[in-house]
Amino acid sequence: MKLLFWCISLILLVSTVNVYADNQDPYPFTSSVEADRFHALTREIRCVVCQNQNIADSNAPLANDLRDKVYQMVLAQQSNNEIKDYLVKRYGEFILLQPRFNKSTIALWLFPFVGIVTIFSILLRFMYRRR
Amino acid sequence: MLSKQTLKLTIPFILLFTLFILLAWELFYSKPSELPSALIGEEVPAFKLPDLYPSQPPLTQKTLTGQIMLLNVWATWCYACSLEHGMLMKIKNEYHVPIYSIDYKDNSQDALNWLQENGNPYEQTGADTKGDVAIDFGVYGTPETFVINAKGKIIYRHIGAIDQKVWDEVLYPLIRQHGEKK
Amino acid sequence: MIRLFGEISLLLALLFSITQSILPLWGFWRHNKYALAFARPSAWGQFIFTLIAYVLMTIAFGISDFSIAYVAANSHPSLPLMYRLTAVWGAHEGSILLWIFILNIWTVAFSFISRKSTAQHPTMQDTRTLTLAVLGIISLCFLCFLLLTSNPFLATSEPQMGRDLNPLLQDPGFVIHPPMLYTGYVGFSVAFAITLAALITGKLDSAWAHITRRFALAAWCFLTLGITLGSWWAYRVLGWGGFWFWDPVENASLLPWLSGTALIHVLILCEKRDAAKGWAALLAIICFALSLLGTFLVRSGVLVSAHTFANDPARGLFLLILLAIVTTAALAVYVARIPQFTVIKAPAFSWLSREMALLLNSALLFVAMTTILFGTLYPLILDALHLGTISVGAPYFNMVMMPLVMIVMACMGLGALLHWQQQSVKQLWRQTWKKLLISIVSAIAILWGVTGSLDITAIISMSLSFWILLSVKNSIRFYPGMSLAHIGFAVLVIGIMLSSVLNQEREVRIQPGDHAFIGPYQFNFLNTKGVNGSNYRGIQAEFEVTKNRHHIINMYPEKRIYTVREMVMSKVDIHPGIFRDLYIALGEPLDDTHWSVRIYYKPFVRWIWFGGMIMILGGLLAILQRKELFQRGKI
Repeated sequence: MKLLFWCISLILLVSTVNVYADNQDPYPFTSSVEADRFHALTREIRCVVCQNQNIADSNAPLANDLRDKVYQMVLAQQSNNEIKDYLVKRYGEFILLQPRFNKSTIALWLFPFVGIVTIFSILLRFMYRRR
Repeated sequence: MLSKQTLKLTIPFILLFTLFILLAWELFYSKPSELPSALIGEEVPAFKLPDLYPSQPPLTQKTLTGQIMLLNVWATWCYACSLEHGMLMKIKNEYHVPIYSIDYKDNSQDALNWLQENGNPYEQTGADTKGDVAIDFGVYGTPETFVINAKGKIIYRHIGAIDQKVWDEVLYPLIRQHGEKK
Repeated sequence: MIRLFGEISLLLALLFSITQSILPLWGFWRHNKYALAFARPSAWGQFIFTLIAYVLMTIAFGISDFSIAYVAANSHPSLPLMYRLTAVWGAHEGSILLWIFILNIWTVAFSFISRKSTAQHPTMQDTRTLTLAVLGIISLCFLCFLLLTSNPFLATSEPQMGRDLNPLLQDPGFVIHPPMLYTGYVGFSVAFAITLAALITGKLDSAWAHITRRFALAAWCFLTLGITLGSWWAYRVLGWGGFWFWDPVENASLLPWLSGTALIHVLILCEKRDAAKGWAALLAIICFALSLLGTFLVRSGVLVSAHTFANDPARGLFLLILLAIVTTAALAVYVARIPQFTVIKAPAFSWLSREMALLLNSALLFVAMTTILFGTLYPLILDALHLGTISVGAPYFNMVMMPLVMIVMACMGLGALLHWQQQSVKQLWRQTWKKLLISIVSAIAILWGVTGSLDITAIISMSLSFWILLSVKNSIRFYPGMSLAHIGFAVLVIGIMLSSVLNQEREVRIQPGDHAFIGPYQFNFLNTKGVNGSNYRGIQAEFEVTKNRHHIINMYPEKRIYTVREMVMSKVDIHPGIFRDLYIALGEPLDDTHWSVRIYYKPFVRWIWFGGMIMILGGLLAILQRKELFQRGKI
């Protein structure tokens, strides 16, 4: 108990308040909601010329161009789905790092549920048999 | 003794073999670094680019209809593009297939000089200095070449330089096949 | 000369691997004592000659003997000595040599350590011999693979100046991450071999469980160390402060880790309760099969990854066939022999018992493992069926793994508190309601105080981490290993959660004289200057970091060109701290004076690797735990 108390106090002591200033931002936004949306989007879009990176982290020319494009589209108030559709139309589903839910990805998205249900039923049968 | 027990036992082995066959297949037949174009079967996207030669009219999607043709995406800073130049000249002069092009993120004067020095295999060239139109085509590197049919539909995209082998085995047969459907 | 002796050593090692494996196996079949006796000395013989081959390769790198093609492709006279000696595992051929070398180290370690338990249980003698035989077969296969398709001692066709080691690898992380990782991967071969041997001799008993658990724990410790180091190394080198990318090759190392964790937990059931032996044996086989699968995936070229070695379908095919044969044979032995071991002799246990918690935990880890495997292979499946090309990346795995990890954490805490065999709900509630309350309340308090926002995922993760911490309070005395390992995991999760919530990054366009703010810190761009290393030249920027006008540190990120391969690399500078890291990376020069720079403020990110280290410490303690104490465990 005491240990926990000290841990908590220590963490609270060293945490700090955030200061914010953005005069040199290459992608300035007036609202932080839009800024967050932009950054989240760039982390979900694949850099197709790199070996497994997203466009947020890559400095490849195409990644820079795509980041600029996404930036303009977010500024123009286009929704996430519209931006993703735009990119998929040109580069295919490959460009999205999170596969969309459709006929060919049903198995992928349902697999974890099926897995958990399966092991629970195996455990149930095992316990039942032992009685 | 094909009991339910035996059947249950063979399932894991079947799963295992499916996995191995999948991996073996992918080992020999997949090319993970080549992305198939998302635009195959679609019409050429609407665009308008100024022509590299200022006196010529702009290049638009309407220019890219009426006959079977190639659309080549290139740049002077791209080494592989210089390798395929000879083949492109041959396609123009010997095979008489029209080639249009997009000069991707290039300095227009450098491009003009280059075509002057080495010969111009293109009917028309659009100057895409910002790369926006190339994004509309789903271009991700140079050189890339699209095969477009008479109705203005993209039927194939080749990634990388074109050499005689690629022409003989892939592109020319495609062109002959689609070009004859009038 | 080195070439000649290197190849001779490898051939002799191959010879010994045959006498270590095929001869004793035949001897077991024909009850021939003398053939069986070949196993132990052959194991030592093979070890000595693989050692010689490995040392020769290291010497070749040390003296820059470019008559050997592999040395020429991965080294350069100007490469610093530390990297010259470790470039042995910088590419495919050498890394397979390392793999085989480590396999032989584990083999002789097993041979040595099992001496004592065989003296105590003479019936284990045959199992021991057959274990060596199975390990010998694996070594035989890999030596054939090495000599036939990936010979590191091939001569250069023409004189070479050396192509230098890939600049991304020229970092201290490279010196230690691959050997530790391989030691982990390969270590599971021992558990695999002992299990197969025990299945064949029919001795799947507590002696088997005891020794398998020790070796599986050892392999697990090394694998955890390898993965932790890999994450830390990626953080230092790749330039954008990430620590895990769900890259296919990273996933390939996580798969044996997950099934290995499941294995060491189920083996507790085997050792203490004589239960779940079939499940443990299956896990032991699957664990090593996953190590082999990982080795295949990394070298075959079927997956797009930042990590993959140069590819060759012929090599990929060899490894695939090796994997197929080993896995199928092992599974066949399992299926043939396991029915006689699954008569349940253990005392019955109820749903609310430690046995159930252990079983449930292993099952959940197994589901997590299959989910990651399926997700990694899914693009391949769709591609083979011509259903299109998709990506399955970090967003998918993060989303899917989070609920699974949360359930596992809940079970971790429960498992440490539950009694063996059964416990009433009322009794359990009396013990745990206080801990639950404290966990949730402190999680909310800390999140509110530190971050100012209350995200439900963060609350749940933090509560679960505190839950685990509180649950091991009473176990530290009897089970120091388990307690420490669980604490380590909780610390890891806290690190991940806090660093992702509190992390700030800025990309700025800046010139000398400017400053940028991030968190409570101010970064002042002072100047740039040219730098020269032994095999690179570049530009170094100097930043002064202040907080509330107090000077904290100066940081020096660089942009380097490695001259031999003409590769440009950004060398980040990190100011590490227990409670926060400061991280700065130079991007591209924008014009004469401006640079694009990324600055990161990362609170608690070190806790991720601290957590990993604590887990490893816990694993080590668990290995050393005295047997009597473990079997007598009161709790």
